[in-house]
Amino acid sequence: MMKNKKSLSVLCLALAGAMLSTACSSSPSQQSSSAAPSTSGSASVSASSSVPASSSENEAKSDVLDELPLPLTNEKVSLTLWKPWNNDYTPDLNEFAVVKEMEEKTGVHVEYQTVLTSSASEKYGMLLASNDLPDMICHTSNIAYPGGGEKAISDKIYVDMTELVEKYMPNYRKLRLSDEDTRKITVTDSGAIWGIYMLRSNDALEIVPEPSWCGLVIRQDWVKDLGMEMPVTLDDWHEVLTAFKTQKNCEAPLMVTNIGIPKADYFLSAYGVTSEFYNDNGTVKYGPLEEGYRQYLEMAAKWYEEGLIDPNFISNNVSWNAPADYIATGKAGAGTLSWAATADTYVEDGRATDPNLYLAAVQGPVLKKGDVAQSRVTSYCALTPTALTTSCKRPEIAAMWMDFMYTKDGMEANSYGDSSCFTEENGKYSYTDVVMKPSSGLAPQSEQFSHIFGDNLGLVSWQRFDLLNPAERLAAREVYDADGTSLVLPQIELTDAEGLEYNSLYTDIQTMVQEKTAAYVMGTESLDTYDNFIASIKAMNIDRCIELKQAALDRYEAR
Amino acid sequence: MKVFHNIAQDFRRNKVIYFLCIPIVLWYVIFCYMPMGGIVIAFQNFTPARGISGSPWVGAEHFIRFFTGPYAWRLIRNTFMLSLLDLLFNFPAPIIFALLLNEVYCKTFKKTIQTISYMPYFISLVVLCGIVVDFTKSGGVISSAVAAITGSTPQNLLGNVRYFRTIYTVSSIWQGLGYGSIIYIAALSGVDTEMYEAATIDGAGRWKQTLHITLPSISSTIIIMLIMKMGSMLNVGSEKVLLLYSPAIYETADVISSYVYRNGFETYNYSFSTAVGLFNSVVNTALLLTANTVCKKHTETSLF
Repeated sequence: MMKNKKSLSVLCLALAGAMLSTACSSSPSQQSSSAAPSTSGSASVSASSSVPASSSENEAKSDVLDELPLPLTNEKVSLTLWKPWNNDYTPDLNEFAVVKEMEEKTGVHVEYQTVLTSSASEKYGMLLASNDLPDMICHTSNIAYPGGGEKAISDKIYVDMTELVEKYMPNYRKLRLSDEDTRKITVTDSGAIWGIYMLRSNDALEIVPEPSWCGLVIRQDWVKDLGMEMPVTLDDWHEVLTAFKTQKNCEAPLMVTNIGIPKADYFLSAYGVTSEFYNDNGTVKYGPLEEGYRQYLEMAAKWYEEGLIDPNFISNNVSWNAPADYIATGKAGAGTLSWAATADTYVEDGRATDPNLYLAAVQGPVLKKGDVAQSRVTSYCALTPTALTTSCKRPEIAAMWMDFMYTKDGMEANSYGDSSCFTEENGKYSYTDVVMKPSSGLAPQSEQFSHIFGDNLGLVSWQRFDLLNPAERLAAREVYDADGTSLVLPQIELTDAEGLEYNSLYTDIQTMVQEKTAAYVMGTESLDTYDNFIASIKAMNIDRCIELKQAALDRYEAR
Repeated sequence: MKVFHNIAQDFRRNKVIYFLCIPIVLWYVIFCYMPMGGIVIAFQNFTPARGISGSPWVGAEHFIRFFTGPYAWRLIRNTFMLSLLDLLFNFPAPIIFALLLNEVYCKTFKKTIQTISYMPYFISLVVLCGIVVDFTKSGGVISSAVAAITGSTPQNLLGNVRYFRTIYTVSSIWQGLGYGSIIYIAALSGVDTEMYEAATIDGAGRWKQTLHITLPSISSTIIIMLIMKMGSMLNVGSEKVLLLYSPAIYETADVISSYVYRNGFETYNYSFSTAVGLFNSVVNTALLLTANTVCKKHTETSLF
C-alpha cells in the first residue's frame, strides 16, 4: 500500500507537470513576446560591418544622378539586407551565382539575412525589438510596420527616402513617376517615400502590371458535352450548373469558400457588391449592408437547396485553388483556380481517369449580357517595399544599390538569373539548359528559383512565365484579366490609432457576418431576419469602420 | 530552522537525484514561468515592433471590451458546455473501461483490446479531425448511417449547430478512452488480491467486489484526476475546435481559445487576445483551487 501511494504521487506530479505545461503553452502570444529578447541576438548576427563613413563623403552629394555609375563605388562597401525567403532547393541566397555577379557589377557586397516566410511576421517583430537593425529590410505581404511606414520614420526606425530617391535613384524615380497608380502606391498619405517597391514589367524597362493570377474556371468539356454555351449571366450559370448536377451527376457543381461566397467574390460581384469593403466610385461601402448582398444570399440559398453549391462547403475550406480531389475528379464543375494550376499536375492526374477533363477559365458571371464582373483579383504593379533603416551608415550607396535593381542588369538578375541562365536577342529572352534541363532534375518552374534573385526588390519581369509554362495555362490569364476591378479598393493605409480602433470594432463584426452569411446560404436561418442582422452590425458600429476606410481612401486619392 | 536543516540534509544525501532534476526545473522556469511575464501585454496596446517596454498602457480596456462585446456570454457558454460534457462523459469513460478490462481473465484478449484502444490516441489530431470531417460530410460514412437510421436525407453533420457538441465529445472519447484508462489499470494492478479472496469467501459476487474493493482502492486516483480535470475545466483546446468548426456553426462551436486564436493570429489583436486568455486562466485556477479544497474537506486526498 505504501509503495502504491508513492508511485501514485509520482504519477500525480508528472501529470500536474503535464497540465502546467499545457496551461502555459496555451498562450503562444505570450511566449513569442518574451522569447524575443533571447533570440534576437542570433537573428541579426551579421549586422552591418560598419563602414567608416568619414573618408567617403565625396559621393557628389549635391548633384542629382541621372545615371548610375558602375561600379557604384570604388571602395569596399558592405551592406546587410533582411528578407523573408523560401527556397526548398537552395539553402543560402548568399551563395547564388547571380548575387556574386551583382557584386562584381556594383562593387557592393550585400549580406543577406534570410528568414522563412512562414515565420517572417514573428521574426520581423523580434528584429525591430532587437535594436540591432540591418541596413535594409524587405517587407513581404505578411509583414508591415505597425502603424505604417510614416510611423516607422517618426519612430526613427526607417529613413525617409524621398530625398535619396530624388538624388541617387534615377531609374526608380523615372519608373515610379511613369505610372499614376504606382506613384500613388509608392508614397505615404503625406507624400513621403519610406520604402522602395518592387515593380512589375514585361522584359522592357517599363511598368506593366502582371495579369490576374486567379479566377473562375469551369469544366469546359462538360459544357461542350451537354451541348451548352459557356455561361455568361447568372441565369446561364444556373442552367449549366443544374445540368452538371442532373446529367453529370456532379456532387458539388460550384465550389465556394466556407462562408458561401466564391473567392474574389465571383457571383456576388454580379450584384455590384463584394463581401467586405468596396469602392463605389470613390465612396467606401460595406457589402453586407447593401441590397445586392441580400439578393445574392437569396440566390445562393436557392442554389444550395437545389444542390448546385457544394453541400459540404463549410467543411471543405476552399481557398484560392479549389481542392484537387474535387475539381479534378468530376466531383466539382466550377470554382476558382490560379492560372498556374489550370494545367497542373493534379489536372494531369485527373486526366488519367477522365481524358477529356478540361478546366477552362471563364469570366465572372453578371446579371445581363454585356456587363463585366468588377472584383477580380488585382495584381498590383508595386509590391513588397524595401526600407532603409536608420542604422545604415551609407544610405546613398544603399540607395544606389537598390536603384541598380531597376536597371536592365537588375531586371535580368531578378527575373532570369546569372548570365549562364539566359540568352537575350533583340529584347527577347530565353532560358538556357541550366534552367530548362537542370542537373538537379527539377522542373524548370522550380529550378528558376535557384538562379533568379527573386521577387522582392527591383524590376521583375512576369514575361518569364511564358517561357516556363504551357500555352494552355497562359491562356487562362487573359480571361481572368478581362474582368474588371472597379469595386476593389486600392492599397489604402489606416494610421496607427485608426488601425487599433478598426481592429477592435471589426473583428467581432466579421465574426457575425461570416456566421450569418453561411447560415443564410445553408438555409438554417431565414432571410426574413436579414433586417435584424443589418441592425446588429450597425449596432456594432460598422459605420465607424466605413468612416475610417473612407478617410484612408480619400487620403490615398489625394496623394 | 529545522525545515532548512532537513532540506540541507536531504540535499546532501540525494545530491545526484537533485542534479538530475536540474534540466526539468530549468525547462519550467524558461518555458513556463518566464513567459508568464508576457501577461502584462493584456494591459497594453502591444505591438511587437515597440515591445513590452514601448507599448502604451491601457489598463483594463481589453477586459471591458471583451465583457461588453457581443460574444462574451456565448464564448463562455460554449466553452463551459464542452467542458461539462467532457467531464460527464469523457471523464468516467476510461474508468468504466478499466473496470471492465479488469474483469477480463483471458490475457491475450485483454492485451489485444488494450492495444487497439490506445491506437486512436497516437493518431495526430489533424489527421483525426480530418477523418471526423470526412465521415460527417454529406455522403460520409457516419452522415449516411445517421441518415439511414433517422430516415432523413444525408446532410453535413458539422454544418448543423446542434450536432457539434456531440461530435466533439464522442470523438474525444474515442480518441482518449484507451490511453486515459492506463492510469486506472495501473492503479487496479496494485489492489491486493487477498482482499478479493477474502470477499469471495464472505460471499461477495463480482459486482459487490467492484463496489466495495476495486472502486475504493482506486478512489484516490480518481479524485486526483478529477481535481486536475477541474483545473482545466475552461481550457478547451483551440486545436480541435479550429480543425472542426466553420463560421456556420460559431453559435455552438466558437470557444474562448478559438476566439483568442482568431483575434491574435488572424487580426493581430495581441493584447486583446492575451486579456481573454488571461481571463480563461484565472477561471481555471479558481476552479482548480475550489475542487481541491472541496476534495480535501470530504476525503483525505488532495492535490496539495
